[in-house]
Amino acid sequence: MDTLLNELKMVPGILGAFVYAGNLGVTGSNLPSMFRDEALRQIGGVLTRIFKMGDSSGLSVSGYEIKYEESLMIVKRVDADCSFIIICEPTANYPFINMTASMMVPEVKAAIEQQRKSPQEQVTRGIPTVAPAAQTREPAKELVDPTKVIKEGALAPVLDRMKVCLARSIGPIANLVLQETVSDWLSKGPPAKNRLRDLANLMAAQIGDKSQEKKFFDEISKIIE
Amino acid sequence: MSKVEQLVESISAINGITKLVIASRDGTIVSKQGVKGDQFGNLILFVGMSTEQMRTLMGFNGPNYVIMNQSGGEKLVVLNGPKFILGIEIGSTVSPTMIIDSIKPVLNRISTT
Repeated sequence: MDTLLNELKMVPGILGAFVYAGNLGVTGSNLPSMFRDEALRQIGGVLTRIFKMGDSSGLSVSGYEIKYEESLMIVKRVDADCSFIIICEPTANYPFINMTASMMVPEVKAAIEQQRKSPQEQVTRGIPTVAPAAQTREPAKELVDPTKVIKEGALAPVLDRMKVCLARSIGPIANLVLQETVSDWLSKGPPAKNRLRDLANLMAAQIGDKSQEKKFFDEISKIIE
Repeated sequence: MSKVEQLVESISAINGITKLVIASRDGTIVSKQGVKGDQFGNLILFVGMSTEQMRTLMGFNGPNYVIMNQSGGEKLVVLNGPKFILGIEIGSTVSPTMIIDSIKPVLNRISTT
């Protein structure tokens, strides 16, 4: 499954993809880590349910696209209980990506059927449909609401400029990364100006490209110092 | 003429639309054309509401639109406005983006006046 997803990610404009099967959960994903596992599981469930709703309405929906401001989501039906979801930049070449994804559906289906036969061998990001109690994470200690800090807090203008810097390195998912990293940052201390360097480090860790990280730090230093 | 009637009239004037459903955000189907029963409307509502739920999960803004492909070639388009969720079915030879470009401003204007 990973090979298939990585092959698809080579197409320009694709941020990543994941496969959701009702009984297995998320069976493969190469999306950036800021796309939380639990969120992917919930989204996969909703997207697959849309196909089922179509069936019960007498409409045979084979796939669909959802356009958000920051991304284009392409959803392919693999079978009655499985969906193949591709997340692209909003300006991506939709016809080409759609055609490529459609051609890959039979291969995804074969991989899923294999995993259904031997679920213990599945290659996943470690996302069981129901998390065992031992793996349940401690809920993060939220000292301050990250959304309020980003939108209304004293540092909101600085955070907005930091997001713009980040967007130059990672594109439209910068908004999501900012939310995630600010949440993480606030779990370790107050939203203070003298801690912005820590936040910048957390953001840079999400870039995953050394040259882009350097570029990010060059730009962000002018803002936070 | 009510806002909904204005919206229906504007959309009906566009060629290529075979079905139309307008639902308010409380889940009431306030208008439908070329549609029998509630199933089409229920699907449109579910898609409209679900994509808004995913927006929150993903930290995105929108959705701007949803285009669903049927195996027969027809397409369903779902548009979320401030007050209404609109669903239409268009033929296989009609460009959904042209239809969306025509309807979206009307949906937004009707919903905010």
